[in-house]
Order: sequence, then structure tokens, then C-alpha cells
Amino acid sequence: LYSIASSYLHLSILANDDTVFVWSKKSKNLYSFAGCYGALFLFMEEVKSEIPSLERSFEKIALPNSALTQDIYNKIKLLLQDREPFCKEELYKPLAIPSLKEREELFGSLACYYAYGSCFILDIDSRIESIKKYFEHLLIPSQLNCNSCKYIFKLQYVSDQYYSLYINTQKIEDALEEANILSVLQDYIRITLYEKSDFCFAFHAASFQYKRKTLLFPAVSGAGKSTLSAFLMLQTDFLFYSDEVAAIDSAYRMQPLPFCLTIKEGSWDILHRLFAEIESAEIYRRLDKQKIKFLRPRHIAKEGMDAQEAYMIFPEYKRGSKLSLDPLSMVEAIALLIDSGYHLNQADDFSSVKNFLEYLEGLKIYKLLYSDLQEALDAIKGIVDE
Amino acid sequence: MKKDEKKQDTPADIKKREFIEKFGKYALSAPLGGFALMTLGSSKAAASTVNENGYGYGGKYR
Repeated sequence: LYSIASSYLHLSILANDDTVFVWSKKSKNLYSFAGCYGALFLFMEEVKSEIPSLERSFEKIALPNSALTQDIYNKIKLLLQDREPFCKEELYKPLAIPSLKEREELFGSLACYYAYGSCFILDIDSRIESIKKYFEHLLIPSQLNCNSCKYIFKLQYVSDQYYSLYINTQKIEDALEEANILSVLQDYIRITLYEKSDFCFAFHAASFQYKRKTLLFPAVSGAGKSTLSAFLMLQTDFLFYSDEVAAIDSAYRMQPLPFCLTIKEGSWDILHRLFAEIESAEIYRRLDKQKIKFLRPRHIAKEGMDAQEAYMIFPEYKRGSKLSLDPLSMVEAIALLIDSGYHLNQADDFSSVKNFLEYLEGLKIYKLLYSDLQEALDAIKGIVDE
Repeated sequence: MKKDEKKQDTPADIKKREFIEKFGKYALSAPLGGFALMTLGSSKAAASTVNENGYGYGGKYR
């Protein structure tokens, strides 16, 4: 990536060989213009005194005559004129959690767990204490002292099988049904741990290390990410980082967030042939009422593992489809990440945006369409082993 | 500025011109284009599986 100086003071511009990235200091929006649309932006940006018309742009740039071109032209014009449409969506605000001051008496009496650089305690009502087994792999061995516990996640019985969730002294949820508790608790622990860390950016993605290479699998809900993750987890040479959130630290390293995989009802049949515990596992529900079972992770990656390369593979399960694994451009990847979910820390700082783009530029990016897990595995190994 | 002095192109200017020419009207390559707009710092489906709007990673959650 290289910087391009702009006479428009509200814009910062970066480019590589075929894409122009424009960041608006005002809206904090990041525009990615690939190919001819990158050229269109640069052509329109060149003369500040008069933005060229679309007709004039057609004379200069090889643009397709399409509604998309017209739409992008209009967007660029508004961007240059500093008249971007008002975005109704507010920036996401991380959870506000008070630091731990009280309840230190618990430190000696309750077990301590560890993930993503933080220790935490589970203070669970005895009626639902059995859910602790889904966190057993995160337990700190009893011979090690925990002197730096940052969070207490407390589930307190309210009435009629409803529970309140507290993080430290902050009440987060006040009427959780028993069936939803594990799903919500696990989500809040994961979010708390990575949001309060020095992460640079995070994706809604499964992640592994394979032969000293990082593999990220971002996907929308229902794309088959967790089913693929479960299958990869069976392979001894695939080390598990996370099934839900891939959080990247300031050194561009993946850190493990190895919580249980949530397996939706549609995948139980496929996976119970591979994991005996799926059949007997308790059924829980997500807040959207979907039935889920929890699967403990295996072959968990260690913290601070270096990787030589990183791959971003967008998986999509489609019954009966022929396997394909095709390379994607940065802009195609960004468009898919917008759908699947991303989170940039310090998003109002251009250097953070630049780090994000540089990270993406260093990835090898693919789209995987599959209907057979073994075929998908072979294809992934095929490109990574090359 | 004297009449015979020409403004020197910066490396960034040269890169900019090269980019425009690469996808110019008479470029040999096919006019491929793409666009994405990211609202920072997270997509509505991001950042939290249980945020207050009820959205989770990858879809509406409740």
C-alpha cells in the first residue's frame, strides 16, 4: 500500500496496484474502489475546482455503462463534496464493565479460568452449576495461584427458572431463561475478554493454525462455519484458535479464544458420526430460539504462536454443490467481511484502518464452496501445502 | 514561479497517473471494477453476539 496525497483535507487515500482505499476523517467510512472505479475516483479527485461529469469520466476511464457506475459516481461526488449521506447507525460501543474491586473473598473459594490474556471466575447458581463443565478446558490448574483475576461472571437465580447475569458488579441481563444461559454466558465471556484486550481487529470467523500458517474462516451465520470447524478440529495438525471470533493483536498474531463450538440442529446428524458426545449433549437454545449443542474444542493452539503466512477462506456449505476454491480480491473480501462481521479497535484512527488494510493485503484470500467435508479439507490442504 | 519552471511530479502523482492510465479508456485490460463501503468500526452484525440492538455476529440474534 502506498499513500496518495489529496487536496481534499477530509480524505486520506491509500492504494495498491489495482485498488484505491479512501477514508473519510469525518464519517470514518472506508471506501474501497477496485479497478476502473479506483481510476474513476482518482480522476474525479484530481481537479478540486471542478468535479468532472460522468460523461467526461467515460471519455477518460474504461467504465462499464451500468447503474453501478452511476451509483459509484454519485457516491464519489458526495464524498468529495464532503456531503456523505448521514449514517443512522451508531458506532458500536463496547461493553462498559467496572473494574474488579469487590468480592475478592471469592478468589480463594472459586476456581479460576483463563483465556485471551485474562483470568476470570464463574460464580454460578448451584441450580445450573453443571454448565461449568463447558469451560473445564480453560481451568487454571489448582497448584497455580491466580493473582490477576479481572472478571467475575455471576449467574444469580431470580425466579421461575430466570437468571440475572452480572459481569463484576454490572448487571448485564436480568431475565435470562435457563435454556439460553450457556449461549449468552459464553458470548459475554468471549466478548469481554477480547474487547478489553489490546486487539487490533476481529472478525466473525473460525480460526486455526495449520503447519505454521494461520487460517481464518469468516462467514455469515448458517454458512457451515462451525460444522467445518468441528471437522478441522478432528485433524491433529489443525490447531484450534476459535470458532466464533478471530481476534488479531497488535503484532498481527491470532490469540486463542477457545470456547465451545455451538452446533446447530441441522449439523447434529453429520457431526454425531464424528463426535460421540454430540448425541448425548444437552440441548440449549440461542436467543433466536435455534436449538444448539455445545462441543468442547480439541487441539487448542497455544498463545503467541508465530505464523509464516495467513489465509482467509470464506466457506459456504451448499448441499449437492461441486467443490470450488477460488481466489478473491481485497475488495471482494471486504464486501464479504461487511456481511459476516468485523470489528476494528480504535476505528476513528487512520493508522488503525491502515493496519487493517495492510493485514488484509498480506493474506491469501479464497472463497470455498463445498458439500463434502473431506473434499473441503483436501482442498484447503491443497492450497496451503503448495 | 518563473515561466520556464515546471512543477515537479511527486512519486504519488506519478503513481496516481499510472493508476488512471492502467484503467484508462484505451487500456488493454478489461475494465474490471469493484466497490465496498465499510462503516467503521464494525458492521451491524459485528462486535458482539449479544449487543443491545439484538444483533449478533452473522445475523439478527433475538
